[in-house]
Amino acid sequence: MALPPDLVAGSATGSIFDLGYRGYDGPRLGRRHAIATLYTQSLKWTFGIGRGGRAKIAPFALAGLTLLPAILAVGIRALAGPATDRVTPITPQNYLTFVQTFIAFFVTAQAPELLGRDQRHHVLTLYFSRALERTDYALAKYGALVSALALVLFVPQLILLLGIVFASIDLGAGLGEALPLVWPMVASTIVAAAFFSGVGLVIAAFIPRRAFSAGAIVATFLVLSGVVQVLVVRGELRDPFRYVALLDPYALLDGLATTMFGGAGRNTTVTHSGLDPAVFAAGAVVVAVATLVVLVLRYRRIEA
Amino acid sequence: MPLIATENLTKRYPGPGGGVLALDALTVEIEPGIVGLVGANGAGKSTFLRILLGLLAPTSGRASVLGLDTATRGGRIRERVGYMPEHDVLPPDLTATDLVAHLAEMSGLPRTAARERTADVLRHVGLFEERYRPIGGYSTGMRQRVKLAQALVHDPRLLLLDEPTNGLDPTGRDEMLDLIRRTGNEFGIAVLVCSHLLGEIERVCDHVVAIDGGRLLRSASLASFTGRTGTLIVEVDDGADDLAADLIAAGFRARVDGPRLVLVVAQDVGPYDAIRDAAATRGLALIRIEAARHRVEDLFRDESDQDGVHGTAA
Repeated sequence: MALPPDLVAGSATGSIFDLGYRGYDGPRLGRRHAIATLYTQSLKWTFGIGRGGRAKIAPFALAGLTLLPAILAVGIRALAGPATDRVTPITPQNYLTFVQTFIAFFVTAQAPELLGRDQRHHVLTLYFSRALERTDYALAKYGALVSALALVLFVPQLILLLGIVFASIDLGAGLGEALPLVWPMVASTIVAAAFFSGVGLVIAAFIPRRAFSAGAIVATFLVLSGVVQVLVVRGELRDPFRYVALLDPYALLDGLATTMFGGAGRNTTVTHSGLDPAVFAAGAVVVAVATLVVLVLRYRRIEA
Repeated sequence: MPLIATENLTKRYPGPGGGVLALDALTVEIEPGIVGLVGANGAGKSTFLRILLGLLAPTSGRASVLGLDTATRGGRIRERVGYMPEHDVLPPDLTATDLVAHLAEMSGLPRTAARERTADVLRHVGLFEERYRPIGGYSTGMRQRVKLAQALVHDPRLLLLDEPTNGLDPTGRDEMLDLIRRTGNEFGIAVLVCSHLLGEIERVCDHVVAIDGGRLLRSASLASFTGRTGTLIVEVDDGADDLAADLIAAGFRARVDGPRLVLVVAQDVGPYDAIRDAAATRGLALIRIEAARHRVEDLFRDESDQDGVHGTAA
């Protein structure tokens, strides 16, 4: 076995170069290990782990902000009892509408970070000349951001659910209220995470310069949703122009939540468009899948 | 089984006017050792390497590396081949250790082994002291060493080096060439070095593959075209004509080459005695007698003369 590097460095400096080359006969774990490592490393990278203190500020601040509505809701519920749903309108169903801006900023900060550097500095050449395939690279980065967003979205919703269970007078009643929410929560969260990640990464994959891609991502989520909302609410659009509403990314996600959980949506684009929320839900799924396909195709062709 | 074998390998990049033909029915077999791939810029060297790595699909023809077909077994090839690209490919914010260890894992090495090998190869390329500093602060020479280290870290059976001395000063160039020689000779790793600089190829390689315009000019051992040509160059102060006449009279093939030079075909030591005798009897001032050697440039010159093309070698 090789000596620990520090031991070698500590020996007489003159002999450092005379140790001779040692081959490697140990295990080669191949492509699967490469994918797993790239995924784990990118996931950590998304939260700034392994990148120094400053890189952690944005992801952790934004992740912290997504917790606030949940903590607020649970706090009020604990103080005022279960009959407070009218007092705190924060529920798993509409949770995303309270935190979507934070998530958009999270993607804005991290998607260019995940892809831009490797493109700008041509590091992709070093990746693609190894066991890893081009598609693997795209999927590992995508998986990392989806996982990060799912984590950021799950934790507050879990707090919300636990709040429902434990603030109930009767544990059975609390579980009865919370359990039916689990499946819609999991499904809508995963689609939302894939939706945000896909849009952010596709933009970052085509615009390597960090400032430009970040601007484009912010514009897509915040500006586009704002513009479409104004058009739909003020424009009194008729068919087929009503479908402009489907360009609002937040409307798609709200339609998704409404479809999964049932009940009424909060998003004004959805309510004013007169379209069925299921149409928006379908749009969200289509965008999530399509962006993944585009991302993979982009990396199959990208020059490296 | 050859290390690298190609058969009618052709690559045409799409573009206006039929595109660019980077490789034109290249058929070559390369055996282990330190092999130089020479050719002018644009001769198809980088394209050749990228096809060998399975990164680029040839338009037609076949290639195999380590007995594996590049079209179908690219992943397996890349696991056991190290590639040092020509251009700058290093992220400035990472340290050499972090980058090389990460790339070792991307080659399939387990984490601890990746760390150990990283320390090992960084020491080999002479970057041990600086290995925890961000690459952004490195000199060109240090960056080239990091690029070599990442190509070596997974203990490849074959190393593909694309213009490894690019941008280096003379000292850095010497050190890089020395590293390449040691990698090939001491580490027992087969090396294919691409360069447009014939002098470098002559210094490190034992076999040379010359390509021009995407076609094979010649593939032969370095010795076979830098060896003695069997011709002696004799320089005299005056009387080159007389010397030539004497040598021809003595039964040797000789001709005058300029006012002071005589070229003699010498298969054994016979001409040396004849030159001495002629110089002594005629009182010629003999300045030097030298065995003429082939140069790698000749390879381009000879072939291009036949093709009627000039100035193909850089």
